[in-house]
Order: sequence, then structure tokens, then C-alpha cells
Amino acid sequence: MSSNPFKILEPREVLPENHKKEVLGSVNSIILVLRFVQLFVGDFTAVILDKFKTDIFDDSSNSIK
Amino acid sequence: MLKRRTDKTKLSDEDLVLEILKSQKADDFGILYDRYSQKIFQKSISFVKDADVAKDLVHDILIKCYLNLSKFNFESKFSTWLYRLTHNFCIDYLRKHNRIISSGEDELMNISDDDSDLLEKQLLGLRAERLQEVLEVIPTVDKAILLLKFQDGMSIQDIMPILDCGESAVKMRIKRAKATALNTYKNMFGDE
Repeated sequence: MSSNPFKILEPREVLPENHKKEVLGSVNSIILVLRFVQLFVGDFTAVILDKFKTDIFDDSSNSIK
Repeated sequence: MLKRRTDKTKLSDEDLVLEILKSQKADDFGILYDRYSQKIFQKSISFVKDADVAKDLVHDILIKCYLNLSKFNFESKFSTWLYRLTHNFCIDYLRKHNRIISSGEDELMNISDDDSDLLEKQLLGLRAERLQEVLEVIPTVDKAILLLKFQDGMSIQDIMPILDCGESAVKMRIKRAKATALNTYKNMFGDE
């Protein structure tokens, strides 16, 4: 037999469309929690400044869209 | 903005990891998702044989990946690191659900390289549907290494960091897995 049977058995299923949204939603939640925690345990000023810069960036990107 | 996004999709995996750590934006992680989620899904299905469970495993593996990105030390390729994480996550899942049967780690395998080549030839000559049945009953660790070698086409050097063991250990495990699969085949189907 010429073909590799392991290759024939390779799964062909694909992930559902909404799966990416679920994963990135979870990642976003983690980012939010981490930022919240940083507010209390990290450098408060740095976090606020970082948040400020992020918001500015988001606003400009939204306005382009 | 569109230009920035396009540029990021062209980054290497390793540069993208740096970008994700710097930007802390889920969208950047989405590029890694696009590159690897399907591969992780297929690997998970080959372990758990259930698309719904595999889908949840992909979610959990990618979240674990995100949480551990800062621990990636750039000494190996990112894909190898992620492959190792996926492999270990699936093995842990099966272990937790009592669905893992380990192979006799201490069992000595006196198989010469020539015999091993012959076993490989026999293994690759099996009919796919019978091989499928064999893979369902052999120890998961044996199945896993056979899939890495013959389905994913990995070399010994590729497998070493995934299983976290040396060259001789990987070779021995592959030999043992081939012998186990063929013995199981003979027990199930005779010497056809």
C-alpha cells in the first residue's frame, strides 16, 4: 500500500465560526482582570497612564473606522 | 489602522508573541488563533475522539497559552512550544478522566534498528480502518507518539522538546509504540 494510513486517519473536522469570538472574549476578560489587579498591586500611576494611552489609541482607531 | 493590522499578520510567530505581550490586545492574539486553532483542534480530536470536547480543549489550551506567553523563552520555535502545551494538556485531560492507559515505561525493548524499520513498513502497510481500531486500544502514550511521527511527520529532533526527553528515549518510545501497535493488530486480526 503506497499511502500512509495515518494520513488517511487525519481528522477533517473544522472549528465552528463563533469559536474565535469565544476565545478572544475570554482573553479580553483576562486582560481586564489583570489590569484591574494591577491597579491594586502594581504601580498605580503607570497603569493609569497606560490606560490613558490605550484609550487615546482606541479612540483614534475608532474614528478612522 | 488597517495597515498596522496587515503588517502584524506578516510577523513571525515569535515577533507576534512580543507584540501581544506589549500591546495586551486580544485582536493580536487572534492572529495566533488563526494560525494554530485548527491544528490544535485536530490534535485534540485525535486524542479525545469527540469534536465538542475537543472544541472546549482548544479554548482552554489557547487561554493557557495566553496566560503563559510571558514564560515562552524563545529558545525553541513558538510552534514547538505550543505543540508541547497541546500535547501535555490533552494527556492531562485524559489522565483526569481516567481515559489514559500508560505504557510499561520500564519495559526493555530489544529491537534492533533493522527490526524497527521492518515494523515501520508493516505499520504503514496496514489498512486505515484497522489501524484506527488499533489506535483506539493501545496505550495513549504510544498512540500519541505514533501520531507525532507518522501523522504530523515529525522528526526525532522535533519530538524531543515536545516529550521533553532525549534522542535515545524518543527512539526507544517509537520502537515500543510500533511493536505494541503491531502486536495489538495481530491479536485483533491475526496474521492477515
